[in-house]
Amino acid sequence: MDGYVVDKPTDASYLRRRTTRDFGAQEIEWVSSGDALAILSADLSETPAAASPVADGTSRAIYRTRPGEESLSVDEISTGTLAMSPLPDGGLLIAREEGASTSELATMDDSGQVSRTYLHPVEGKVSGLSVSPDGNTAVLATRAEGTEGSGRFGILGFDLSEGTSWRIADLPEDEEVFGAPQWTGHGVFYVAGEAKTAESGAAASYDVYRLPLDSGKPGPAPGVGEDFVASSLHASPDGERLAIVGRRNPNSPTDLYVLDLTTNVLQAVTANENMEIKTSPNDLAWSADGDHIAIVARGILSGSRVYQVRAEALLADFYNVYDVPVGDSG
Amino acid sequence: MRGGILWALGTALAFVLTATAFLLLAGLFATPPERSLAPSNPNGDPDPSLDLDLEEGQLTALDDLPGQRLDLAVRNGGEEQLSDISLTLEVASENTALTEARYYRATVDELAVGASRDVGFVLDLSPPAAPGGAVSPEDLEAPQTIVEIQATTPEGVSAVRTVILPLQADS
Repeated sequence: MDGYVVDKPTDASYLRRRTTRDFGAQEIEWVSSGDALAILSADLSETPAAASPVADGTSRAIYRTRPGEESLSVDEISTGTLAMSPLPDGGLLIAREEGASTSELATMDDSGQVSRTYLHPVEGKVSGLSVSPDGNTAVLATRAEGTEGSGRFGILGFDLSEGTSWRIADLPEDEEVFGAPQWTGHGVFYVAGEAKTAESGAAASYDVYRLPLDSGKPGPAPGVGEDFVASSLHASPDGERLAIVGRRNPNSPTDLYVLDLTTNVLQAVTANENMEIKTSPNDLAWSADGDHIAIVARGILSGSRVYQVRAEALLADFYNVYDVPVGDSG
Repeated sequence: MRGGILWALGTALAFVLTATAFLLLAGLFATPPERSLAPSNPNGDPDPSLDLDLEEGQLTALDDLPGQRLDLAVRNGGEEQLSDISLTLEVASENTALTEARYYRATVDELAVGASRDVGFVLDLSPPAAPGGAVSPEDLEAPQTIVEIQATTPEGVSAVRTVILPLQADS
């Protein structure tokens, strides 16, 4: 929330503050069976100028909250971190800068200690990663070192038992991966599109791609539709469904969709004409049981508004976390 | 004749049974309905005894700078004279990490039944300074400015207005 971290029990109305204000938190994962949080944030040990907002592929630090409800303190447990993802059995998989043009992977246990560092280097800078539901494989989006940050994006698989990686696909020269690719039993799914152009500054439309596990040729994700404009996606905990935030066509409002990867049926689970759903990959999350999806949204409002209630009673005017029940895949 | 009637009844019965089966199957496998996220608009329960009249046209002229004037009219819509009406105006940022707010106060000594009194505030609407070393999440949109005005009397009569201003380019 606004760069700091709170948690809210689902059966209570209060928020519990986890960090001091202005922490710059960008991504949060539960660790230690829900007793603590791992927070990916700008490195606060850097100078303020260096600790400005950063994009994927830029190194950051991981902080771990201390146990205890009254504590607002955090411990730095990793620096030079490019990306992190929770492991199904606890702990984290992290990608760190290893050199000018390579990355390294490591696992952390629930206490924040590095439990294994993979010696096999990963080519390029990891911009996003996720772990398969069985915890055996990681899928990475990487960016090769290029001039003026223009390196080419690729999708890599990483065997977490053997510690070896293999290249699944290279993206076209002018395309970038948005967020972390998702490993499922039906292939690797990711959102990609043309990178922003300096002249227009506008983001081009992004599409959902599927990479079959047995070939390196990405294609449009079945069932999504060629007019679909994707923003972010996240695989369900069992890897059988994808939550996708996007627009059915360029003129549609942004909604949350669920793609059943077995039937390739895309189902809209929200219907919003007047709500703006945040499209960052970190603003989309599944519940552990796969029955709910959390998104962040607020009303599409412009200009000044006057209300006859206190600000704390206003909902649509401010970003809130919404719980969207989506049932089970059956 | 009887055979024809029986045939027609049988056909109708078969049609009804088939249609019912289809409807049941459709209901069984129906996908969950799409859900609207839009929360219901807040319904204030204004006290008619005390009203704050804010000319909304002036809001468009406000800028994210010091010295911004905001006028409102305090009106006694009740059946008794009001006295010692305390007005508190709070300017805050939508960014909840910036907890400091600016406060302004005014008082209306007496207000007869049916009367109104103009009250003006000169506000500093410049973006609050972020503490040293502060960083913002990369995708943080420009926060809105919240102006909350409360009027209360010692007798407990009150009124509130909240103005949301999309002013700040950045905090």
